[in-house]
Amino acid sequence: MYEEKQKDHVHVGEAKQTSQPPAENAVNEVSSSAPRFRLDMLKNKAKRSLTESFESILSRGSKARGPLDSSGSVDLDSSVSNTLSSTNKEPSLCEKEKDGLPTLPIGSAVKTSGSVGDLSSITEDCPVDQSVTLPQQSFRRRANTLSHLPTKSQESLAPVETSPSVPQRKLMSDYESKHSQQAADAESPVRTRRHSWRQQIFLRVATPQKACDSPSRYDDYCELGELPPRSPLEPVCEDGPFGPVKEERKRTPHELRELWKKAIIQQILLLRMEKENQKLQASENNLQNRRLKLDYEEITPCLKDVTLIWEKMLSTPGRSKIKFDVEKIHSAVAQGVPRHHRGEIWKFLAEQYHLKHQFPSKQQPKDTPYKELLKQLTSQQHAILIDLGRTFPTHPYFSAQLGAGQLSLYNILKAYSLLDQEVGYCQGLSFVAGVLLLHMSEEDAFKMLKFLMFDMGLRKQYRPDMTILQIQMYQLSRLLHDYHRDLYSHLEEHEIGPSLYAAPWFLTMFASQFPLGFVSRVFDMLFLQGSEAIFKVALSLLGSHKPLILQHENLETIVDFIKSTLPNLGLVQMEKTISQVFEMDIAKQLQAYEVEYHVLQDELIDSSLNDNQRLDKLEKANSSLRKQNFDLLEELQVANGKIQNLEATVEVLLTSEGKLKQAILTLEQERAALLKALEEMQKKIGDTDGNPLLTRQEHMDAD
Amino acid sequence: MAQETTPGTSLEGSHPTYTYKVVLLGSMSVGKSSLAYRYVKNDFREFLPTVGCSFFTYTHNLESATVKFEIWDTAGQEKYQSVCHLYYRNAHAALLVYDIAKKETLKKAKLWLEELEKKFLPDEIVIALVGNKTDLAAEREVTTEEGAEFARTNGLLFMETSAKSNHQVNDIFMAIVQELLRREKEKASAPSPHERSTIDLKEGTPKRRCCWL
Repeated sequence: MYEEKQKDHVHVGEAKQTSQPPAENAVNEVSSSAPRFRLDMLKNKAKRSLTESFESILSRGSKARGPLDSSGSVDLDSSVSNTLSSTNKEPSLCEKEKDGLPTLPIGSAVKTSGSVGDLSSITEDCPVDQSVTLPQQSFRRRANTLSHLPTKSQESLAPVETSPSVPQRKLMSDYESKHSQQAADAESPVRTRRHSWRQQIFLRVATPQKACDSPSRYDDYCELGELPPRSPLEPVCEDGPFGPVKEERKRTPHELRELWKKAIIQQILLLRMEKENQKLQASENNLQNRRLKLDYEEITPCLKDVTLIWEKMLSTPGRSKIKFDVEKIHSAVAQGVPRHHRGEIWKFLAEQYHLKHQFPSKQQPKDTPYKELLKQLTSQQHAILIDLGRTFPTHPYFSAQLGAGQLSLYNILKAYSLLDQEVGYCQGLSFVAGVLLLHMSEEDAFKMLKFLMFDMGLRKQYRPDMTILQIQMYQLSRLLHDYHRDLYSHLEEHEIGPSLYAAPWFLTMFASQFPLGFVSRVFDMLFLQGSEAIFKVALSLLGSHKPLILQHENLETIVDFIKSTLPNLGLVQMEKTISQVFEMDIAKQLQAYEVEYHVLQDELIDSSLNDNQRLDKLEKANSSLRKQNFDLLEELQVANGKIQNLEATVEVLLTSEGKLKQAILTLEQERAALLKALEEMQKKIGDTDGNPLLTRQEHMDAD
Repeated sequence: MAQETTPGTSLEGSHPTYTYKVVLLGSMSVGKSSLAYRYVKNDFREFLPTVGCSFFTYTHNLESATVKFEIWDTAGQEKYQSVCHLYYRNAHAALLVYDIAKKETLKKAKLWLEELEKKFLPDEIVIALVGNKTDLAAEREVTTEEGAEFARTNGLLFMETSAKSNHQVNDIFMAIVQELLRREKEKASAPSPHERSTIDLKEGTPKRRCCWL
């Protein structure tokens, strides 16, 4: 089709360039005074293109300026010749043409001013684009049109923009609008219908409002900076689909001017209507989106009077600066939260929290505006993108790949990862952000995420070391021990700790497994109490399904029950679970168990430290003993040396003693021998003289 | 190493029942949960990201023995690595899963191997390297040889699988079963066979999954 048209355009161009007016065509043109006849002719033979219709209109218009010269007839003729020879099979256009043609001044000399010739040559290439792009890009075109009010055409812009002189442009645009409408007609019956529908609206609206709108016309032009100089050539197009067909051929400039005014005003109106229409459609889309987002079953439908209480609180003037009674808020949340006000109520609860805690708690993030964050790049992009399609994949708002829901979710998570560099993006967060997004706009959802993470302290469980998560698991197991001893023992018996089933409860606030009606109730409480609410819900959930859990007798079925069956139990159970939560108070235990955990942890560290120290000590003792040992060994060696010395001395002494003894012995023997010898000698003396011997003996003793 | 659970424990050698803990480790979205699901339920579905850990069991009834697998499926995001040790403690086998269409996931699997080598002695745990998503062959970034080579140099079992098109999922788990049983036999026959294994079994029981926080 497009190709055909383009071919036709070439024809037109060629025809013009060669400027060969076939005689029969001229006759045809003249014979348009008999419209019926001409119609038949056309119907039988004519195959038309967009440009042709355009050109015929053009020539029609140009004629209004006065007698046409021969160059005009060339144009006309060529267009008609095209009409006859082109291969476009669109009889409906011919009919259109027929409607238009009778208004032509019949019999006027077929002459065209040079300017028209220029015009047609200008248009030569433009319509090519137009015919190609028009059906496909009608939306963009319309958008274009909005920014170029003075052009009358709704669907054709390019030619207007390219036409060099203002009067021409005005002409052109006028023609174009007709032309394009005709073209639209030509394209399909549907188009025809749309055209007439539009025309109807246009006429209907334009007529009554014409008067009141006319003063604003120039303002509109000024706004757009395209105030066209008013030339006498302007009021050329009086006929066509835009207004009642005038029977007069000669009009006063004044009349023409009025007509122009009218046409312009009408066009402006039409554009405005379209704008309005778009706005309406947008708001309708918003509504639809909201309905889509909030498409979940509430587990405790909010009663009317509770809804009224909420509405009253929400609509209090200066709400963000008034402290409401805490008890009242609590009881209202406990009684129920109307789904369609939920987002607003969460924001309200956050406001109230801020009023109560004037001094921001602990660390607050930098106050970078959301829009700024969106402009930056995050290192977590990969992780976020992976999880986009895995967050509420069955929810209609999030299911479309890179649809509105996923894009908003991406924006929030990206902004958060930039705001809180320590946490960045942590799996689980996408669910939290997703729930928020279902209840409010993207930017509000971001603010509320920030509120929950920083003010309500949820962020600590996502920190890189995840110690808080481990503490929470310990706390939950202790609470279970306190409140549901039998269940605790049952689970313990099968070695099921909370980390086996409860980690997602904490990290996604139940959102990854439980129905949204339940999750939104959890969030209601989360906005009041922070992560304490999760403990309560977990406890209450396990408690109220205790008999069922106790029925299961092995690790796999128990875990499977808690993970898969529990979230899909009936609304009644859910309601019961939630209502129990409002009666619980576990703040003290939580605190106690956190301390307990730390103490246990410290002891663990302590004992492990002691061991080390002991080892150290023992090693030290060992080495000192070794040293001592070494010293003693040295001493021993010295002593041994001494001993050997002494022993040697002893030996020497012993031998000398032996020698001495022997000497004594010999001396005694000598003495004995001497005594013997003396006795013998005394005997000998006594034998000779007894006395002297005795005296000698006595003498010897006395010595 | 493994413990024989009471019901199946008939006399030695006849038909013992072993229970093993198998843990799945690897980057985000490489298909850990899908592998487990394919293996246990023989089905494929899209998974939500695993937050914390999830748990499956599967029982093989083999001629020589009954082997029960407790499959622990962990969270992939690096953030969760600090809690992962809670889950792989006392594991008998580990599957290091990567995505053949994402090169960096193999790198991550290598890091996991280092981590496991710190915590386990080589004969304490059977480790398999698994290149998942062969259905995405057109987007492949890691060649089969690359994976196989890495597995060979580190003494790991290796297979490329697709949980989606059910390619070799069963095979890799079976390979693990065979390896575990082979080690079981080896251990049983090394010292005086009967006593050794019974001692082992008794030792194993109280230690298993001792404390999760």
